[in-house]
Amino acid sequence: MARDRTEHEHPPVAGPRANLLSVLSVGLLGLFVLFILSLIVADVAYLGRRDYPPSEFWRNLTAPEVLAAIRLSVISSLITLGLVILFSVPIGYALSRFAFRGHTLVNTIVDVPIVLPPIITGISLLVLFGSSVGRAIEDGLYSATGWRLASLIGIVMCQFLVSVSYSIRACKASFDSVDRQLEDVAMTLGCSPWGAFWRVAVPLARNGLVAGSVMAWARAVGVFGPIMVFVGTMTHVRVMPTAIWLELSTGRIEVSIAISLVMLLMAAGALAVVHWLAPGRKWT
Amino acid sequence: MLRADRVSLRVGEFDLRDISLEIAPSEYFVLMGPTGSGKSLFVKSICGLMRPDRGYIFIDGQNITDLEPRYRNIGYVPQHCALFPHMTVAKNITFALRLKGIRHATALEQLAALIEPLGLRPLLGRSVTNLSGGERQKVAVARALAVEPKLLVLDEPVSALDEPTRHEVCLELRTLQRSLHIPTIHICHSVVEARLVSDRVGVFVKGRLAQTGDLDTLTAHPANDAVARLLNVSTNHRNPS
Amino acid sequence: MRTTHSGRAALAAALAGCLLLVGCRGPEDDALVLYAGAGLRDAVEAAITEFEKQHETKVVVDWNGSGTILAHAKARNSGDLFMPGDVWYVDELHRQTGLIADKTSVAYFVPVILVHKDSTKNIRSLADFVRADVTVGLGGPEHCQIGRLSTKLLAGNGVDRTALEAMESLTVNDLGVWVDTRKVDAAIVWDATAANYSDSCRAIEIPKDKNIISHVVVGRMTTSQHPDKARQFVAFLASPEGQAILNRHGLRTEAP
Repeated sequence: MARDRTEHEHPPVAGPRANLLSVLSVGLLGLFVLFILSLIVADVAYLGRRDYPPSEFWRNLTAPEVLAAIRLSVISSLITLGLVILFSVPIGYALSRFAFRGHTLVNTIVDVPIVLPPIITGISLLVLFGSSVGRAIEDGLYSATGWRLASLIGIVMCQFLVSVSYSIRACKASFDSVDRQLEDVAMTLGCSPWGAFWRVAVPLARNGLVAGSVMAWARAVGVFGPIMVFVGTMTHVRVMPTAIWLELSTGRIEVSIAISLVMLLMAAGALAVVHWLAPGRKWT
Repeated sequence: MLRADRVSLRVGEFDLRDISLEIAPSEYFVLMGPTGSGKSLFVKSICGLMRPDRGYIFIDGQNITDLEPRYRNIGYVPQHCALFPHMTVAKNITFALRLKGIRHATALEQLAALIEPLGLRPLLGRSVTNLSGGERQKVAVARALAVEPKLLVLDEPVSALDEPTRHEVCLELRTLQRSLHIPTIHICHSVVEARLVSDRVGVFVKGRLAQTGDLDTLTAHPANDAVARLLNVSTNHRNPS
Repeated sequence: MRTTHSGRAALAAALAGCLLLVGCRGPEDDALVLYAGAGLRDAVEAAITEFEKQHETKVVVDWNGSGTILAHAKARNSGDLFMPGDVWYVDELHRQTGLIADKTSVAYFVPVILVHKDSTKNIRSLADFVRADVTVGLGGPEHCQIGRLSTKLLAGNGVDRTALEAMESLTVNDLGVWVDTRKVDAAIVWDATAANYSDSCRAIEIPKDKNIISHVVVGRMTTSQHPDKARQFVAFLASPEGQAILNRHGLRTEAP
C-alpha cells in the first residue's frame, strides 16, 4: 500500500491567490513568525548592549561550569532518549496493534503526563522518595551501588517522565499509519510476529518514530521544574535549564541568555532533523 | 486437502457461523458473496491471521487450527495486494526465501521458473509504488508462490482492475494454477470471473455458507433467493427458478 | 540477517549508557551539604572557595528558591547547613521538622530602592512610589521576606501598599530582573540584590530611621553528618576574614 505518501500527495499550491482566506491565513502565519523572530532578536540585542563585548560572551559561554551544564544536558538527554525509544516503540506498537480490555482507558492514562504540568511530576517524585517506602528504595540503591537519586539518575527520571508520553503518542500514530495487512502478509510468508514487527512495521514507521523521538529529546533537554524540585542544583547535577535559572537569580541575565541561545541552536538542529525526515518532502 | 469443520468466528459486526467446506487437491475454488458476508474473515482464519472461536481447520489431515501463520505454508494475497512499499519488486518476491537465510541473488535464480511465466523480469528493479494494477497483482502472486505453498488464497485479486485486464489476469491465474497443481481459493463478486476460473463455487450469505457446487449447478438450482440474486445481479439475465 | 546488525548497535548503546551511569553518585560522603538561596550565590561561593582551601573540606551547595530548599531539606531528611535568602524559612523549617540545631546571623539585608540608571522618572524616595507615572515592583507578602517587610516599610513611610497597584513577585531576584529589563520603574530589594545589577541599575538608600533591617541567617541542621565541620563553616562565615569576603560580594556585614 502506498500509504507512505499520505499528506504529501497534495503539496501546497505555489503562491497564494489573493482572497480573504489566503490573506488571513498567510497574514497570521507572518505575524506568528515575526513574533518568534522578535523574541530571538530581543535576546541577541540584549547581549549587544554597549558594555557586553563578544569576547565576554564567549568567556561566559566557555566557563567550566557552563560547559559542564551543557555536557550534562547532552549526556542525560541522550540516555533519556535511549530509554524513551526503548519504552515508547513497543508501547506505541501495542496501543496501535493490539485490542485488549481497557484499551481506551490505558490510552487515556498514557496521555496524562502530557497534560500534567511538569512541576507536578517533580513534586510527586519528591513526595514519593520522601516517603518511608521511597527512602527505603533510595537507601537500598545506595548500599547496593553507591548511587544516589540526586544525580544523573534523578535527572534522567525527570526528563523521561516528561517526554515519554509524547513519544508513545507519536509512535502509536506512526504505527497506525502502517497498513496492518503488510504485517499479516509477512507472517504468512514465514515471519514470526516479532519478525513482522522488525522487518515491516518498524522500517515503514521509521520516519515517524525518529521524528517523535527527536521531539521527545528536545522536550527532555528543556525539562526544568521537576529537576529543580526533585534533583536540585548542586554542581554535579546542573543542566542547562537550571544553569539558566541560577544565572538569572544573581542578575546575570547575559549569561542566562547566552546559554539560552545554545539551547535554541540545539532545538533548531533537532527541528531540522525532524523536517528532513518528513516523508516525501518535495518543497522547502 | 483443506477441510474446514464448523468454523465460527465473531469480530465486531462480522459473524461467521458453522462454516464447513472441503477443497480437493488441485481444485480452483471460488468464494462468492455480498460485501460483509464474511469471505475475507474466513480466509484469514484459514491463513492463521484470525483465530476461530469454534471449529477446526485441517490441511492434508493435519489439524492446523492453532498453528501460527508462518508454519502453515499458505500463500496469501490480500485485497489490494499489500506489497511491501519499502522494497523493490525483486525483494518483495524473494522475501520469504530471504527469511530462511537464502541470499537475494540466489533466491532470484531459484524463483526464475516463477518470474518468467508471469513476465516479471523487466519489473524486478522497480519500486512497487509505480506499478499498474495488473503488474501489482502478478508480483503479489509471485511473492505468495515463492514459499511453494500447499494452498493459495487470493482475496479479490482482480476487482480493482479494468475489464480487459481482469479477463487477462484471470486467465493467467488459471493457467498458472493448472501448471502448478496448487489448490486455490479465489474470492470475488463477479459471476463472469467465477466462470473463467472456477472448478467449484461456494456462496457466503450473512456469515453462513449457503451453497457449494459447480457454477452451472448453482445457477440452475440456487439454494435460496439470496444465492439467486447474487448470481443474477452479476450475469444480468433472469434465472428461471 | 538485518536484525543482528541493529541488535548489536542497541547493545553498544546500552553499554555506553551503563558506563555513563558512573555519574550517578551523589556528593562525596565527607562533603558538607549546604542548602542556600540562589540570590546569595556570589558571596557564598567566594566564601566557600576560601573555606575549602583552608579546611580541606568540600562544600556542595544546592541552590534554589527558599521554599524549594525547605522542601528538599524536609524530603531528603539530610543535610548539614540551611541558608535561605529569606530568614523566615529557617524558623519555618524548624517549626515544621525541628531540624535546625542552631542558627547564626552572618550578614544584614538592608532594603533599598532599585531604579534603572537610564530612568527619567527622577525617583528619589519611597514617597515617589505613589506617583501615577511610576510603576512599582514589590515582593509578594506571602512569598518572600522582602515582600513581608515592604508592607511595613511603606506604611512607616506614609505609603499605603494596597493603593500602589504594584506588580508582585515571588522572589526578590525577580524584582531585580524587572527593573533591569525596565518592566517596572522602581522596586524595593535587598542591598545585596541591588549589587547584582550595579551595571545597569542604581540603589537609592532609605533613611536609616525609617528602614527595617533583616538578616542573613545560616542554620546548622540536626541531620548533619559532620557537625564539627558544619560549625567550622558557620564560624568561618562569621569570622573577620569570612565577613570581608561576603562584604566584597555585596553582602552588608556591619550594622547599618
